[in-house]
Amino acid sequence: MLDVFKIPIIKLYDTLIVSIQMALTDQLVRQLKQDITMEIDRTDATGLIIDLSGMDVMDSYITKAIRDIGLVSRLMGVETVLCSLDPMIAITLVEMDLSPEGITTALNLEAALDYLRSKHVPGPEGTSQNKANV
Amino acid sequence: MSEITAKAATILKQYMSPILTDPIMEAAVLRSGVDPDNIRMGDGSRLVRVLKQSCKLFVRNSRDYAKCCKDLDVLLTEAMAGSSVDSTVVTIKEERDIVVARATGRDMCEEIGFPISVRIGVATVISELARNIHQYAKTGNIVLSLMKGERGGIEVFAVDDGPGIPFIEEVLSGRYKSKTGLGQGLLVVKKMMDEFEVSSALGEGTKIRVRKYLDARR
Ligand SMILES: Nc1ncnc2c1ncn2[C@@H]1O[C@H](COP(=O)(O)OP(=O)(O)OP(=O)(O)O)[C@@H](O)[C@H]1O
Ligand SMILES: [Mg+2]
Repeated sequence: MLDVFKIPIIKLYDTLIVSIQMALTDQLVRQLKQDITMEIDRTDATGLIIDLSGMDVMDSYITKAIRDIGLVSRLMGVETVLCSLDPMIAITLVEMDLSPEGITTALNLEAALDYLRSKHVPGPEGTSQNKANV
Repeated sequence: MSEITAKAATILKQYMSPILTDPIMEAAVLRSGVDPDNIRMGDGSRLVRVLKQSCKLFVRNSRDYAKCCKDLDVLLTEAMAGSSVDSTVVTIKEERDIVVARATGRDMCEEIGFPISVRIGVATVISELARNIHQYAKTGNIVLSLMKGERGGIEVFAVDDGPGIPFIEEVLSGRYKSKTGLGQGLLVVKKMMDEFEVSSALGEGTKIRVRKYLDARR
């Protein structure tokens, strides 16, 4: 079961949305990284939102995994926004110096979408003009 | 059925139709993953939490629901006070055991009364230690114990027979550059806990004992 399970990636206009609702294993992280890069390549997305509302903890391993995904996406011209982090987990992250630096965070999914929209004003063909200078 | 599940069923019967209590109990046992014949540390609070969720729809009104929840909490406290076992071992053999270890620790923290922020912190600590075992020693044990004496709290003891950490001084001073991760794991563990003890040498495995006390909340 574990081997066939995948974290779904949803495309909404220019944005890819991923919601992580289970404990991340090596296998899932590897798969997710690969799937996200493929989706970015395939869809011309300009933003990636990772919804973390389902996380039970954010340890250094998970933090690194998410930071890696953010870095890979940035290399491909896509900005990553994390959202819906449980407030207590956020406090723990900061208290323990684990916050994923260099990645934007938003209170919830709406805020994350608004943020990305404000950064990437759609061009005439509906694609982002800003994409090239990220 | 074990004593705690029987007692919980009796409580439920006071607040809802008795026809419903058995199926609700069974479903709660299943959903919480608790073995009623072998209730271990952390199981009680998990069971009670699931029970509260599932009986919400069936209890007559919200006042009864509040009472029912209170009765269940009392039951849990009594069961805890009477239990002689106060530690549990989670063997780390595969990746998913890491999740089991931290979930168990988190529930134990709830039982002994840590606030939610500390529970998450301790769960994170357990996750770091368990992952290190999985990554570097392949297998080992996480022993979780509640300290109930004068100074209440939780102890996490991580033991393995792996290669050991000869450069432990570097790791703890933050000078170590990790090849496999952020190199933050043990620093986080040390920072989060009130007591931190490590004994590790090349080829001798690694033993890490950490404690968090109720009266030293941050
Ligand atoms: N149980 C262990 N057995 C053998 N070596 C270990 C063990 N735990 C840690 N180490 C060694 O100590 C180093 C530091 O561990 P630490 O958990 O602090 O960081 P990390 O695992 O490298 O990265 P992170 O935990 O941030 O993902 C590891 O890189 C590893 O070489
Ligand atoms: Mg580590």
